[in-house]
Amino acid sequence: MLDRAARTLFDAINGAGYTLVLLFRTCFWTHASWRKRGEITYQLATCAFGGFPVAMIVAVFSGMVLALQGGISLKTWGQEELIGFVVPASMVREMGPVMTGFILAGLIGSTMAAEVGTMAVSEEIEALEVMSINPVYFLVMPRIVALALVAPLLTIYVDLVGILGGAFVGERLLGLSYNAYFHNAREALDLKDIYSGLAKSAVFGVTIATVGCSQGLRARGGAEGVGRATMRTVVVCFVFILIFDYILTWMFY
Amino acid sequence: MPDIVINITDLNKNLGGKQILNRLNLQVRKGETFVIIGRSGSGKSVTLKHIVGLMRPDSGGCFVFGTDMARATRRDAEAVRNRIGYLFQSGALLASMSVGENVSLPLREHESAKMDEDAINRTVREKLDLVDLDKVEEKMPGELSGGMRKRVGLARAIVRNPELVLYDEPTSGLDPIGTAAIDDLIISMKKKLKVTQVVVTHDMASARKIADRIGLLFDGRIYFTGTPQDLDETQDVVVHQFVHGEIAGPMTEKSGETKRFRKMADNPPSSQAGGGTRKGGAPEKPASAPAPQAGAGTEPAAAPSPASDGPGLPTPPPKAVDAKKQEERQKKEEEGEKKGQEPA
Repeated sequence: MLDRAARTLFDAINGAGYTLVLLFRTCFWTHASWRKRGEITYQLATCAFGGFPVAMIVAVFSGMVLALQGGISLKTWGQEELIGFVVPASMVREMGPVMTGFILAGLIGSTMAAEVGTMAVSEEIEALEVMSINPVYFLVMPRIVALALVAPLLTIYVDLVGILGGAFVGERLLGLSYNAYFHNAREALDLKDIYSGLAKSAVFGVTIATVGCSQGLRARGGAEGVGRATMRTVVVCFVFILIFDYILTWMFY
Repeated sequence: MPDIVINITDLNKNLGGKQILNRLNLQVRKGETFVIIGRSGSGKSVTLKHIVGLMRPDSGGCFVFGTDMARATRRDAEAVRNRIGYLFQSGALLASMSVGENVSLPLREHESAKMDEDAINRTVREKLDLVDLDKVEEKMPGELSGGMRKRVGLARAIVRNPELVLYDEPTSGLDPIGTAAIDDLIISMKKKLKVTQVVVTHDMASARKIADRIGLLFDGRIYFTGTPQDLDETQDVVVHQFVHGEIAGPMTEKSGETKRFRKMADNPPSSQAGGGTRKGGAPEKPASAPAPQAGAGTEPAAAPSPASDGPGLPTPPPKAVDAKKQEERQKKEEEGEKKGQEPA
């Protein structure tokens, strides 16, 4: 039992170390971004097209439920017009980046782990090494750069759709005019809310891609190993999104 | 030793608690085709991976073109790898790229400054022609058969005209004609391009055809080295067992496999299934397999024949082994018994 716990702990530390080294090596290879622009663009398109449809559904309902819950509570004191402050501030500061992170972890992080993991178990990574092509430069760097760019873009989209969802519920169910809602929204948001939210999402994007690639590269043992890598990616990403969210919020505010 | 391309000295590698390579020594000369034969799991592929620096040994040296791949920096290892082509067992084509992109990948990554698009495409077509593939550039690896994937892998391995080509099971899974085509290609590579080649295989026919020298990997080291003729003429029991594919012998005795193989031969799946039925309470008689010798069908696993533990060969197993082998075994058994009686 104790032996098993020690081994799990050792594996976790080992994995964390590997992931960190992978991130540093990726930072080194970003100088070759222009050379790999084709692959980065392809990854960007894949991430964006993969993420946008789901993001729309998640964002609109997040905004709507925020407005509904907030509105019901505030209506007790006749303060329902305050949802114009509550929904945009919550979406831009917290819900937007975190929801985007969860969507990207589930959709793109798991895909990356499966893709890279399949390559690892079918000797494709070794084939790259033998051809003197560095897998970090060839596979990992384009994916991390692409997700670091896509995550803030997707967050802007999620923020906007969420705020619109809130406005819709405010107008239909709480009797709050669109004008009043957006007037309050402009009052509620300052530049810091926007850039802190986008910075958070960029960090989440890098985290998701790095964890996905790291798990994929370490996948062993055929299809089962790839499945394990995919599952671990989602779990580890969810945990680290929440941890980094707390740390970054503490740093910014 | 300027004409030694690969010089492996006292190489040790332990994987998962098992000593895969045990003070392995191997020299490959420039321009020769060296074939490494050995049982599955004996460390043939591991040896190749050490040569190309994909694995680092626990101890020992692995000099390739004078660079010790066991201790080389990434940059030095890459410089050596630029002179090596490697054919993986599965072909290891990148599934997300077309055949043309796969074959051209090493050129695009390393030679793009020297070669324009036309030159790259010309070279790709030339190499695909060499492995007897036509009009496959646009296809994805998933659309190809196993043999075709292997040939594309070979085209990619030789696209930069390497000085040394390593082949990991180049003919496994291929039909006889495909096997002959790959064999001929390996021979022509040596003749036309004077390439040094190391081939890992357990296909003896192929090994005899292509090899200048053959090395048998056994017990983690190169147990025997010689020409194909030496291999056929040697009286060594280990080599003899492998070359003739015999179940009983020193290669299988040590690991206890001889006993296991004999049990398998003595108890073909139908009789084992019968045992299972009995356990479940089903009637015994119809389930028990027909046994030529009393007791063999009723207690198959628990009581092996005492003869099987002796120096000779086992009591002839029923049905599962063909008549010819059975005759040979009986002869050997008789000889074994005679030998055993002589000292007494």
